[in-house]
Amino acid sequence: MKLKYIFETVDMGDEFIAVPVGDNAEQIHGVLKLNKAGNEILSLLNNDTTEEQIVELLSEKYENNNKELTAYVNKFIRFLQDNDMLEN
Amino acid sequence: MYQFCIQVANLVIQIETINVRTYIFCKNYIVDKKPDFCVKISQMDIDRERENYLLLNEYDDPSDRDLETIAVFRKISDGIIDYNRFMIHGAAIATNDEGYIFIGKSGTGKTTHIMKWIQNIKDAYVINGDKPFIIIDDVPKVCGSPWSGKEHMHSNVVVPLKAIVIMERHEKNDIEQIRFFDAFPMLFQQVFHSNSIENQKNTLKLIKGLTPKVSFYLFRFNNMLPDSFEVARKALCK
Repeated sequence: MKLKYIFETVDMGDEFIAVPVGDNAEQIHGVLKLNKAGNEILSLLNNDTTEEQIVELLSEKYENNNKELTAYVNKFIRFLQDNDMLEN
Repeated sequence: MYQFCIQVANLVIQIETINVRTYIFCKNYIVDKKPDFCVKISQMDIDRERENYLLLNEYDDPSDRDLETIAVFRKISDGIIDYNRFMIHGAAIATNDEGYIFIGKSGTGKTTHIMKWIQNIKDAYVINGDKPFIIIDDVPKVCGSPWSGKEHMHSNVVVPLKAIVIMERHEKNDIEQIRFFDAFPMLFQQVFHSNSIENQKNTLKLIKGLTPKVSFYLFRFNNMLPDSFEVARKALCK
């Protein structure tokens, strides 16, 4: 799976705002307000990947493979799917 | 063809049009200076503007002259992004040499509210009643232009921008300062969006340039209540 849209991120330090840009951007009515983890996940979804790969990458990066991380990634991806922002 | 230069947002823009209407429309901004960039309108631009216009206004029949003026504005709004400027949909006023922009959905009551400022504060005036330009610099500034909505309220000025106020209709009047992060979604909705991805990305960088010099407020208000102006003024002009 990967993102359907191109997002440009505004870095506000610990918080990020992801703004849809490009030809089909108007299909998304709004912006995404993200924390660091959300921004990382969104960035990984610019390329075709899987939920498991995202969890594995983040676990390695933050030396954290607990259930909370898995649940967080799952919740975020469900949100993107429910709002039709992902392909496949 | 009509060719002339105007100065808006401290930029000199050469405009080339088919009809004379835009020249008359811009008369208070015309200068005899070397341009920073040029905007040229063709019949194709006018036709494209007509298609866009009719999507939203099915039963209107706008003239080429009116559409040309809109096309000029669209090209200027796109071109100024390269010069650290952008257009925002909102009502801008100034008092005490400081600018304030009120933004919100159409029909919220922005014009009604800014008229209270004009009526109640001696030195207050309208910078632009509908679509002011913003300059991103060490000190962000808000600017007038002839493109100012149906009331045609505008002043040929450039003023330091102190605050942007997001307006929402409510039962009572209440105003609070908010973070840029929380103001951003509404702010972004009201900023001119270019068709080019590069310009869209540059616009985002410019919007971020508003902070930290510019303050952001959320103003929940009821124009029918007598204190709506005072509530805003006390918070913004302290």
